[in-house]
Amino acid sequence: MTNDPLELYIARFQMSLTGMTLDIRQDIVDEIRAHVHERMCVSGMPIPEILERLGPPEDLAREYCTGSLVTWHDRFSPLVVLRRAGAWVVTTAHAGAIAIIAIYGYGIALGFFVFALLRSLVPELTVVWVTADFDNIGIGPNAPFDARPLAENWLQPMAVGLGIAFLMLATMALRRLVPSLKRWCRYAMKPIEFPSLDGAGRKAANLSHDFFQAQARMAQRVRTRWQNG
Amino acid sequence: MPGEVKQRGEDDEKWEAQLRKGCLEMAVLAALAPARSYGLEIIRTLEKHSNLDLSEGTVYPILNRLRSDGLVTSSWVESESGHPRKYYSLTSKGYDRATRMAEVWLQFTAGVNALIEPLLPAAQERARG
Repeated sequence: MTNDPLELYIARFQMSLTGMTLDIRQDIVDEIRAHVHERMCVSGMPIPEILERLGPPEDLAREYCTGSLVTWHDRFSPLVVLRRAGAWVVTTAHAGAIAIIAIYGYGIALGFFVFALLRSLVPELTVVWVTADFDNIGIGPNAPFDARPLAENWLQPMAVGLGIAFLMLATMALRRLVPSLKRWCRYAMKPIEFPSLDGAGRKAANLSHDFFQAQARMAQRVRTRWQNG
Repeated sequence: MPGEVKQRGEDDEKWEAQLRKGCLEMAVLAALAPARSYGLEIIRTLEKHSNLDLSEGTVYPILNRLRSDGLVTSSWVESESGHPRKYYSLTSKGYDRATRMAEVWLQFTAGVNALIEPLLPAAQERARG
């Protein structure tokens, strides 16, 4: 067990950094470590004081994990509500697209890999055949009399290649779609500040006050003009 | 009575902390506008040019969030002091965002300044005393 205050701080900090990949966590820890060394070199401040200025490691980690520091509200207006509704539609469409790509993309890739494996285990059951006039294609031992096997030796590498291609394409599409879904979802979830009855009452009171003030000013002006002839 | 004073002091502090945190994101983006910079340099710029009085630990999570939002980019660079530094620079999206924030800030402060005008003599007297 080390007694180095920096290492103790880093250990507690690392323990509290949750919900992120190891790369990101390491990057954050490296930056905090670099900050401590830099501060020490520049100002000659002792490490415990530098760590104190950074705040408790759990609090610092919480700031990283929670992300947003202040929750912003949008004022209520029909346009804002319409935008939120639109954001929910786009979020749902994104979520649907992600589900379809994940299920079909990875499912098809898995299918190709399983086929490639079965091709080595039971080659006679996994023959791909095509009829002479190319109007029928299928898999299995019960081929029509005019059928001939298709790409016999290349079938396994082709299946592996297609499996890898589907795996990569699905992953690339998901990598693009997931951050976009997060952004839309964050916008759709942003709270709206609805007007309160108190606020409406205050506005009505202000309006009526302004109206009576204007009426009194006009009456005063008319009286002055009448007195001056 | 002392309890009431203490409560009022805590409320003031909370409000001030929220105010500082609220404009910190804009301040960090503004600090990066002239040139790329690293964490400690950003903190010193903020301390020098603003009255933000920030905890050093607050700036790094903000930089991390700005990076994940695509407003800044970062890269590790070896320094003369022997320690690598993580430099941040504004992206074009970050520059646009900072400009928009500055615009909103100007409008916002102009409105609030007009509103607090009747309080200014008392506030100035308090600041002097």
